[in-house]
Amino acid sequence: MSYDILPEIDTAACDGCGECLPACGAGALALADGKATLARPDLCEYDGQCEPACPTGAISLPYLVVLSVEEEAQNA
Amino acid sequence: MNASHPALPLLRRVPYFAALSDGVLEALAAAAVERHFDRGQVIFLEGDPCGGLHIVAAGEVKIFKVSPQGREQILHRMGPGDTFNDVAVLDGGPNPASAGAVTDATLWVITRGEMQRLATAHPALAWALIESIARRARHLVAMVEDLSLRSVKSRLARLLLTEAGRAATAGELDRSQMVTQAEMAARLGTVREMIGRALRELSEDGLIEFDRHRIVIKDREGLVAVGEGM
Repeated sequence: MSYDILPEIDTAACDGCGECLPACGAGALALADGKATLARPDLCEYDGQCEPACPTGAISLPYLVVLSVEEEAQNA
Repeated sequence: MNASHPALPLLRRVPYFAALSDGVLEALAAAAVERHFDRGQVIFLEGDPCGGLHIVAAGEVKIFKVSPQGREQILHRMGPGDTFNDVAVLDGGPNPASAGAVTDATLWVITRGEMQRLATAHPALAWALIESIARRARHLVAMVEDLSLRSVKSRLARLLLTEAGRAATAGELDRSQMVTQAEMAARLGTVREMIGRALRELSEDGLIEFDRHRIVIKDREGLVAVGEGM
């Protein structure tokens, strides 16, 4: 798999309020040039806390929806 | 007429063009103009004059409307082989909704004038367009039923099942197979907070679980039952 799955930050929508920083328990986010940025992607736990913390909707987490292994076996 | 027109293989993949003869497809291909759009770029806006029939060659496109408060409702998501803006092509009115590129996208566009000329010359094409509009009407009737009769949780259950089916048939993972809570909200006519709440409820009910970037369906039958409003 070559696709890195990480939270997406829309820098045009980000107003730099910084409310996402304390929401991220892992400390993956930082402010740079007045915008939120995923400064430490290696720390990101993808727990989804940053998304609702952003008042401008600038942060989003893409999800892949899949059947569990057990359900896939039943459907095979 | 050029049988090796680059749009020809794509037109053969459009389901409602499948029954058309090679001659009609070649005439359509000759009238088609290729256009490229970057991810996030607007293709056309609601209310603008009809830009013609659009056929997706590559990438993903959303057809959407925006409320006065700025809330987006996605009416359709289109992938390779899908067509859009058929309604404006047929009635000559303005675009009934806006279109935007979800991923980088390549489209072929045929103007209303060319479509009129070709449909007059080839009745099979006119019939194919009518069938396409009828399918679109069925989709919209189902959407009205969903929006008016089903709860957000029920609609979300149905969307998750659809997305799981899509992921199962897709190739290598890319962004177009994934969906954010904001995108789910836009497709289901609600807001992100409601989606977050409904996802938590489905998780607490033991029907799904979060596994980093994956939403795993643990109980398909249970999710189907929620989707049916049971």
